[in-house]
Amino acid sequence: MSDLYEDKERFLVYRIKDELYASPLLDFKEVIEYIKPKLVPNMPSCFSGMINLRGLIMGVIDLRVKLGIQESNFLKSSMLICETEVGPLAAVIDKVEFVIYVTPSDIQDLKIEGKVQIDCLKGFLQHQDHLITIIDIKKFVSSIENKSVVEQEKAA
Amino acid sequence: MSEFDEELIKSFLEEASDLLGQWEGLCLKLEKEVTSDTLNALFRIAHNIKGSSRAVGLSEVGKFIHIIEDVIVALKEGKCQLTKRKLSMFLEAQTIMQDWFAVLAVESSYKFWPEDFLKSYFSETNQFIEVQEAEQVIADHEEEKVEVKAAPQPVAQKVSEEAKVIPLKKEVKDEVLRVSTKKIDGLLNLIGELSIQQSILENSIQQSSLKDHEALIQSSLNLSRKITKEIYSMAFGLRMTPIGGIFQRLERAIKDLGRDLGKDVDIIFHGNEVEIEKTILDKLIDPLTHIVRNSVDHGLEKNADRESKGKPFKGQISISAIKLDDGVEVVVKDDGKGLDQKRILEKAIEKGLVSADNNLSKEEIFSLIFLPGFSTAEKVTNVSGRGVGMDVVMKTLEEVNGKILVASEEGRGTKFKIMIPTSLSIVDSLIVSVNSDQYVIPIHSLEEVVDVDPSQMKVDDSVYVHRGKVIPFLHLKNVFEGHQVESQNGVFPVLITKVQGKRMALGIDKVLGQHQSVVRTLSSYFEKSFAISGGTILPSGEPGLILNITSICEKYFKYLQTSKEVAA
Repeated sequence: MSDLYEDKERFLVYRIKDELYASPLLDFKEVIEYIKPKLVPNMPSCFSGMINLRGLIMGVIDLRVKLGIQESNFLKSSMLICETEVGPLAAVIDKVEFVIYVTPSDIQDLKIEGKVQIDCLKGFLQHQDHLITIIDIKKFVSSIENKSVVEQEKAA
Repeated sequence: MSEFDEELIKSFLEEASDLLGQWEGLCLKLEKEVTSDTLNALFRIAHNIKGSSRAVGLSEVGKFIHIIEDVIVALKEGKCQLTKRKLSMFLEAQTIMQDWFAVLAVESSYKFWPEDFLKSYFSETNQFIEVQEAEQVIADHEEEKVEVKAAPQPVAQKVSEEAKVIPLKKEVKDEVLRVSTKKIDGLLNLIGELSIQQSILENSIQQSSLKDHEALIQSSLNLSRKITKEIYSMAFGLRMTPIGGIFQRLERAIKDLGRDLGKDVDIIFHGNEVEIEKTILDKLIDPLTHIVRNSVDHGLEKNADRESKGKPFKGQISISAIKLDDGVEVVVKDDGKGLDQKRILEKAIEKGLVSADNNLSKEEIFSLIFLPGFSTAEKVTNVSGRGVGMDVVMKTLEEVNGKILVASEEGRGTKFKIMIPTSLSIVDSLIVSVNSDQYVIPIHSLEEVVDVDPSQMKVDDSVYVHRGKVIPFLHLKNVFEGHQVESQNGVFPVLITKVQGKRMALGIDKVLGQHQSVVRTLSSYFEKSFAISGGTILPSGEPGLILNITSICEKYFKYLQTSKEVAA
């Protein structure tokens, strides 16, 4: 069996609204159930706060806000924990779907400027009847938005 | 160079920095009294460094230390006597090696040869050159008859207890600590205990009727709680190192400078055993060194002058550490001429730090020396006037939440009192609510908390009259966006703080309680918010934010400044 998967990489496929996204499984430290984050003031809008994960305080990035999705009735089922350059971050997604084995050559390297910045976009994958967007998750969650700190010196 | 070689060099350097620390201590000991024990210990260290450096392929180090070792051997065998020149050669060699090894730690292929040093002390055949006129033999307190036997090995034992002196390298994130095995054994014991209690609990649960085991379960839970608490405090103790480690460096600094300036100084240390967290201890070194150097340079009079004033011939500097409830107090005292109140005031007025018609008390005048841009030394000496003033001392201490006070009496001496927390990992703090969110504010950043009636707010709620003085006011809900809360009615608490010497009043919604907060570092993502200095876990288990009061106030002062400029 093992050589069947020899040059295949495992990807975690997750859902945000109606779209499927995938990232290398080993980019995630763990997947946890959704914990309601505590508010951190004066942060970018996609930063929904922080959580206490077994004594480790980490920031929470709402991937839906990052992808420009406005609606608020989400599943909010899981958080993906990844260790990024700026420390551990939890990414809020709607649902973890499944893990697939992917041969790297199956990934279509199309650079299409969309909701995902080009430098975080790894390509697309046709899987059964789904089109899956492959994201460099570490880069994507830690990338800094331009409209970052709300400079609120005083209610001026 | 292979990875293995680099690993070897690294472990050699760790060992060597320990040995060099002892080397320094032994030299200082030799200055007081020459004993064969001390000489032997020094020889062993030199020999040790020589052997290990050659073993890891640092042949230059081996060659260098061999030259020094020859002098020690000659001393040991009584072929020559220990002179001041030899002693300062030993100390200088130590400094050279310390710097040398510091570079090696970063770049293991570094090649170096201390040419100048050798030239000034040794002949071409590497024989030590004595300078005749400067000859001063250090009193030999012990007869030569003491045979060199298998001497006891105090060196090896001390190693484990003493914090090592590693050159501070910014890029090294993961610090290495030396911890006594006793502490680790204690910790392991407790963890073992805890797992026993855990298995008792597991066993009881497997039994059919829990009722019978209720008492057992109860006691086991109680014990577990107790053990956990002990583990916690012990684990904290692992980061603590005795302050005595830096006393030795201070002694060296004082002795070196005293020698240069021709001042004979007595040094007294107290409280070597007081423990402080390593990170704080490292921050203490520079301020303390600066203070003691100042004391030797400006504080103490020349020995002859002292006698004519009826003071003891030798000047005295005492450094003591005392453990307090909320931290450690380090006091540096000298019996020199004291601070010149009049000159400090003149200088401060001249530099525009205070107005001429001020009405400052003696204490307030002394504290002017901590202001940036103040330096009393008329001419810049290469001793204390290296561009580092007392303001830097104060700033460095503030970085670790420390405070410094000065007291002085003309003709009698000067006293610096430094108060620092023992640990940066736990802070006493207030939990407050703003916009119905909880925030944590370190108590040390506050002067007081007062209840304020809205009628005490003036000028559009931008100033607050506090004990007859007008101070700027800012409600924290204006700093934090978030769910807005209905406007305040009635009395609310106000935090009074002092930043950059200026008072500031910060409004909050409610004080929820006091808490000993364990500080957790936050990922750098949080750096985007200027108001936060760290995170903590609240008693409820939720994460909480520790506010950086200083940067909030500084930002507000800046804002006031710019809006003033705009208005003008």
